[in-house]
Amino acid sequence: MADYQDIKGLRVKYLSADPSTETEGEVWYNSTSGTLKTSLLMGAWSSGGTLPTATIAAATLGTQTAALITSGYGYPGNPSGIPQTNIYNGASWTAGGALQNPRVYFPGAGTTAAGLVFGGISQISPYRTAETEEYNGTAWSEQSDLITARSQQAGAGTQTAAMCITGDAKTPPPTGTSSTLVEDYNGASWTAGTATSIGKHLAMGCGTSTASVVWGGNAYPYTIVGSTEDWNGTAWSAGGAMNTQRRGGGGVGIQTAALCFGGAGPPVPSPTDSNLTENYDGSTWTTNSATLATASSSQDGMGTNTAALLAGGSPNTPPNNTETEEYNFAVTTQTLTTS
Amino acid sequence: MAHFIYGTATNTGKGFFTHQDRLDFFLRGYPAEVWCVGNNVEGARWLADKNCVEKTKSEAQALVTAEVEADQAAWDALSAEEQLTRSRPSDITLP
Repeated sequence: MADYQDIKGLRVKYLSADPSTETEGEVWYNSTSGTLKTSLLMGAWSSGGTLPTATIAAATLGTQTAALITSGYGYPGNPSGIPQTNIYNGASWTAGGALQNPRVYFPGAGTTAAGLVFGGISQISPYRTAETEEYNGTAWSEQSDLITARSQQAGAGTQTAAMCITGDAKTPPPTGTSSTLVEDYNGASWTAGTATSIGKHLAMGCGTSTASVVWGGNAYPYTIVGSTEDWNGTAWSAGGAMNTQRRGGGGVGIQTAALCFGGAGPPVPSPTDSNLTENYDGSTWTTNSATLATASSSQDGMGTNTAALLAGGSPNTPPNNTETEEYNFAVTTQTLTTS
Repeated sequence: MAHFIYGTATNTGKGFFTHQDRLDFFLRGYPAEVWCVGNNVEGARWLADKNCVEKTKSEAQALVTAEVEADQAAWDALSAEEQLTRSRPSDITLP
């Protein structure tokens, strides 16, 4: 039988302590602990900095180490949304500029220095709003409205090349719809885009204005779907089906390397919050072994498929809606056992 | 032997549970600051390190249920418009 030296061309190192710098696949014997160890690339969710304000159904944008969350429900109540914006540096949150039109259930796009939010529910007649605001790193400013007011839509892109995808466009609530509408933003105004095949709201999305993906969501009134559609800049095409259909979860990354986490799954109308994570490679969804510590929905994500951030969301009770979690796909030490 | 240990502790934010913790043992968070970890050395050590107040499964379940029921009552008191924009909190059964 071939041994490690035959396969790798190296002998297993005999060390008194774990190496300070590890390489994926490296194997060593730790003589102090008497254990055989290796370094593996593995994803996991860990706790992040606590939000200063309880937040549910807010807009989020940015990366894991430069993230922004704005408005959403506070606790308890605040149906019109809270105006607060908070900025994350990878360790803690600080206050940013207040959103001019507080609202809930709306997406964000771009970065903390050039952010964009659009649509949502304002609870001020006619409820679903078309308001668009840009963030310049310190303050929000109003921009041209969406053509069609809507809430619970997916977002993708940047401040100067964004997409508003699907959503609930019925006004006023409580009756609703699941829309196929798509609009494109060029940094100045919205224009009608190519509609998706499947109408939905509370779908998740990510990517750029020329290569985006939208998945999951709710087909009105009470069907949670697991379908995916890919946008190539010209047309939508069917993508792979999610392994676990969900709505209102986090979606980050790019079309060919997306990450979905949390969200609420069947049964409806009282769905159960999920702690599942799935990866999308542009055609197929794969269930990730990493799970959220606390199941969550009505939140969105920030970052990439290797460094993501979840902030806010349900459970609707403190302190859960101030807790955050960070996903990292990183080299970690594992002890090898015979079992 | 029970598969899980239960306790209450306040999530202190960054570093409360780490990437390595999540790979080393089972961990789940619930309303009412209830935590459920795998009944093994790593899980027990984490509970101790976080000054968790250990609970029996029934005690932990009662805390979670009380919190969820309070949240359900708050949801039931919302207007029809507000109820449509968020789901009614569902019951949680600890593993």
